[in-house]
Amino acid sequence: MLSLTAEDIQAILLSLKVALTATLLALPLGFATAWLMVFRSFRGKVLLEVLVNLPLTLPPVVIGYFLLLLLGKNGWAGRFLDAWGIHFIFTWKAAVIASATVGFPLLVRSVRLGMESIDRQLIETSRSLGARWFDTLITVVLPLSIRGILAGSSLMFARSLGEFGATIIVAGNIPGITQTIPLAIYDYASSPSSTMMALSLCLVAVVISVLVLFVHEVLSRNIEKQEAA
Amino acid sequence: MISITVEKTLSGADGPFTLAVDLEMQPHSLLTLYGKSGSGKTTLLRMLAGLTKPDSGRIEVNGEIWFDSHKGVCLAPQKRKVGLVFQNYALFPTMTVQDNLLFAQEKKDPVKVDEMLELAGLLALRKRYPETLSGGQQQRVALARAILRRPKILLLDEPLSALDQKTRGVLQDEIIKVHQHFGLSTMLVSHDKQEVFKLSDSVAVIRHGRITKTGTPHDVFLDRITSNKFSFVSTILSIRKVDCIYLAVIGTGNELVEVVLSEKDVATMKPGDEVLVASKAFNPVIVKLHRPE
Repeated sequence: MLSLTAEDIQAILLSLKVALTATLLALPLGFATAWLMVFRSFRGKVLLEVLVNLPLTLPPVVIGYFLLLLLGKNGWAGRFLDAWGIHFIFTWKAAVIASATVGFPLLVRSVRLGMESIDRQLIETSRSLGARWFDTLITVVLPLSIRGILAGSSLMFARSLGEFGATIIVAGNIPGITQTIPLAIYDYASSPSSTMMALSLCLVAVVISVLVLFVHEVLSRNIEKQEAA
Repeated sequence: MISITVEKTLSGADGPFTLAVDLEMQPHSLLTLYGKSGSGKTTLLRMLAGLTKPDSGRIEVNGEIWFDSHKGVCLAPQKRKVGLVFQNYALFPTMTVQDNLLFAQEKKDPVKVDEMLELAGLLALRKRYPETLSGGQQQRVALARAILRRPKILLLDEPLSALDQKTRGVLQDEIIKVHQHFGLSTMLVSHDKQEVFKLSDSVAVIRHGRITKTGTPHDVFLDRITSNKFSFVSTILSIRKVDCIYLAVIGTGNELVEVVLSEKDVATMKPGDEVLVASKAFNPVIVKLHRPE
């Protein structure tokens, strides 16, 4: 029979917390990166594009390993953070960083698509009406990119829920602390007697994913309705 | 006085060409840049607005230097007091009509916005979103928004070409009205001769990046030839032979006119040619203006 243990529930709540935090953290940076790519010309733009999209092509385990090297006690950033008493490795925050890194290109791609569909004459009109670049960004670009932001956030949230490879390297698989749904399923899958437990969590993952897509659809339709009103 | 001396290499359909313009415009006048698509007229307008940077030159508006390549001056678009109106209106779709106008004000003043909306006959529509308005209404909003900024120069880039003939006529009258009411200096880009004739104080004809002719619309389009008791510029749509005479169908706006051509005329004219149709001593005179390229 399908059932959930207290640890499973903790894994579900942690997954939601990690996915939500990763999405919220990545959103401003993703928006800024997309804006740079669409509206600014500068040297090294191609390099930035490659860097942003790299997590899409790299195996998540590789990303996790790089993050471990970076944030570990002897890592370049880890050493600096350690001096301030901040520790990421094998905490839920490491899972957030792993999810944010892996999902970032999906977010940027969607926001960028939204920005590219903005009529350039609107930006030019805004500037000729006296708006500075930041005013234009907030009052014109942001509202017109909302669909892309929504799509990107949903994608990133869903991707974060499923994140496994990078998370297991930097956050480990500690029940109640860093164990997310995929990691818990991985644990159950290694034991033949836990098939029903694994299936229960799989069902939860499916329900959450369907809910995310459903909310995304409803919000998109609302925006469409508002635009048509 | 507005003076523009600019150069920029542009890429056209037949390869690169240089836009080289030396133009002066009287304050409170309406100057039209007339020419075919790709001749450089919109680029010139964009240079004034600060949206396209010239390769070299100088732009001075009422004593203020907006661009000077020698002194390294290039004011950002938001620092030039221009009112810019595009063909596709460019209204912010996420803002109401009222908010679109408020956007143009540095210090938000809803009372002034309402006054402007009333003047433009848009007050009842102030809470509506652009998408729910007709093309003519949207262009009225765009015009009102541009004027609200109190521009030193109003730039109109083919503002009426997406509208039907009737709405165009009404909006042409409104452009003249606001241009005079606010004492604006207005630069219009258009390739519609009738529109240019109706609106402009002066015309500069641009061809392949060069100004080939300047003057009043009458001087530019109807110089000399006849005493012009009655005349209009139009296009030959067809020529056919009926017995011993030739009949040409000529389009004038939405109407068609049939006129008689001599054998000599037929030898030099063909459908598509632009002609001047005039009446001299009650006889129609057809004069070929130039062959379309």
